[in-house]
Amino acid sequence: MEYVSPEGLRLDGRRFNEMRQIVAEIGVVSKADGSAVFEMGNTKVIAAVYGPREIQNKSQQLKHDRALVLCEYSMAQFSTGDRRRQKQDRRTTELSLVIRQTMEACILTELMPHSQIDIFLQVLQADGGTRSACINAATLALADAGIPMRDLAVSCSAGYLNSTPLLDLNYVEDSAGGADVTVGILPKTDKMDAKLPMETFETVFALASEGCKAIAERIREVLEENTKQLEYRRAA
Amino acid sequence: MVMRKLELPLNQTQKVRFERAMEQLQSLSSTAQNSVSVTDSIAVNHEDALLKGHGTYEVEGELLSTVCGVVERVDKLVYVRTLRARYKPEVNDIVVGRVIEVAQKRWRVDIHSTLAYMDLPHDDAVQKRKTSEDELNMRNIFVEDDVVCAEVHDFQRDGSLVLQDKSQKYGKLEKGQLLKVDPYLVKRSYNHFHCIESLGIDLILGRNGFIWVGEHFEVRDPMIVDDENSTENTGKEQSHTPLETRRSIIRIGNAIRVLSAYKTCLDQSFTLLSQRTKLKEDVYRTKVLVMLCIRSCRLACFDLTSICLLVSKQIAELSRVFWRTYFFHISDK
Repeated sequence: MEYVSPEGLRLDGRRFNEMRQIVAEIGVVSKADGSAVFEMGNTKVIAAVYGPREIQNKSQQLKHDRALVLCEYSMAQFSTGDRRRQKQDRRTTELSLVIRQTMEACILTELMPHSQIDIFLQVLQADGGTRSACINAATLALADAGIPMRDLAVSCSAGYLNSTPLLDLNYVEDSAGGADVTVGILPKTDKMDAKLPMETFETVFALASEGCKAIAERIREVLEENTKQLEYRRAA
Repeated sequence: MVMRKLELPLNQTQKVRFERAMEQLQSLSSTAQNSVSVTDSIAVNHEDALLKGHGTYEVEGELLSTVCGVVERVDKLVYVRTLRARYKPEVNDIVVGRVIEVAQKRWRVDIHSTLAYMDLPHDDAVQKRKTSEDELNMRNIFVEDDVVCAEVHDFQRDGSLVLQDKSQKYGKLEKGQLLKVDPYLVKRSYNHFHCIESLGIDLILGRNGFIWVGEHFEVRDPMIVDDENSTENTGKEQSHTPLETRRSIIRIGNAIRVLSAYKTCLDQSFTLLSQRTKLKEDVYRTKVLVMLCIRSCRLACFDLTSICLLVSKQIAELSRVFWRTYFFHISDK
């Protein structure tokens, strides 16, 4: 199948280095300490953060000098084209783990001993790149909850199809069977589905990193706007 | 999906006025210029001795912020004050909480923060040891789901808190409602206990964002026990809260909900509303606050002095209007 037209346009009309539209909103779940909705094109993820709060299950506490980060990822039944049955499959567990590790790396957990931070992620619409969207949504929600972080963990995917590196794959491109990398900065390459020669990997990786930076920029704008709003309304 | 935002149905004029008031507030706010988000670098002069406070992080000689908030500088100390975050307890803070467990010798209290305990009080009047009998009688003092007001006394090594209720001001709270707002909206101040005398209502602004609105309660000194008074008082305590007071409690509660939904600082609003303080400070800001309060409830009254005079009556009036429309939308749970 032709994924890139001779004019250099992809199936949804984007160029190879073009991202889908990003919409980010903070503060959507009233009960949570921090929450956010993150959209990349048709992919939409809602994140809620609770904590730092006291540890609910003491047996999970492995280290006593730092906070425990827990992450739960789920996909809404209506998120994909055909209705999917809710179950804890291998993919879900793996994704939860990946996101948890990413967020754990960026949260300054040593500042909050004896406490636990819960991140709940739910995919409302899935159209490729849910992993990236989840990480971005979680970052926004954590920032909203006022949890100290080393850096904004942002993520973006890139792939290699029809001998062109492509940024931010959607579902059709993702399932085409080409190689794809999801890059998280606080850098972490978490997965590769197909073999990718080293030299093309470089370009694909660079492309994804560029994408990450663009997302970080957007996230920072959203956060800054939010902080300003809160401060002047507080009327110090 | 529950939205955190609350929209008030304002007509066109009100909307325009409200927006103008908010703009005014924005232009007045000098501190909002210092706001930072995660990983923004904080401009500091490295030659001076520097103390890195909360919310900062040094990477390769550059001071970065780790949270979203406002940069504050106190002498050499540079720190970032967070806005929306869980309550971080400090000793001597006044908090309102809910008892969630009666444990041995102590009660576990939920203050929406770390683990907090309240120890069995020493009876200062009668110097004696705590006996097992006292432990058995703990439920006579507080049981689960009681709302209590206390002061942060100490931190334990494991990060948990010890609360105390030594003063007569503290203790069990009855006849009223508990509201939860974002903790950053309650500033630390000299007085967290407010009394709106005209309505007979007590207001306790807990630093942890729990707010108590209840019937006014006279603090009595236990040392001076007058026999006649005590019998009279016990009789009074058993009586029911009058309907008018109940209404006022709900009205004030709703006013707090509006203010917190619009993320306005509550202290100012309520020192303003309780008749104790005079309006000296920032005239504009008070004006905006009052406008916000009143606008949001469809009362067109702009003159500051008249507001000051009327405010305690109007808060009742305006929340009544508000109550009709909104109570079901923003009830606590």
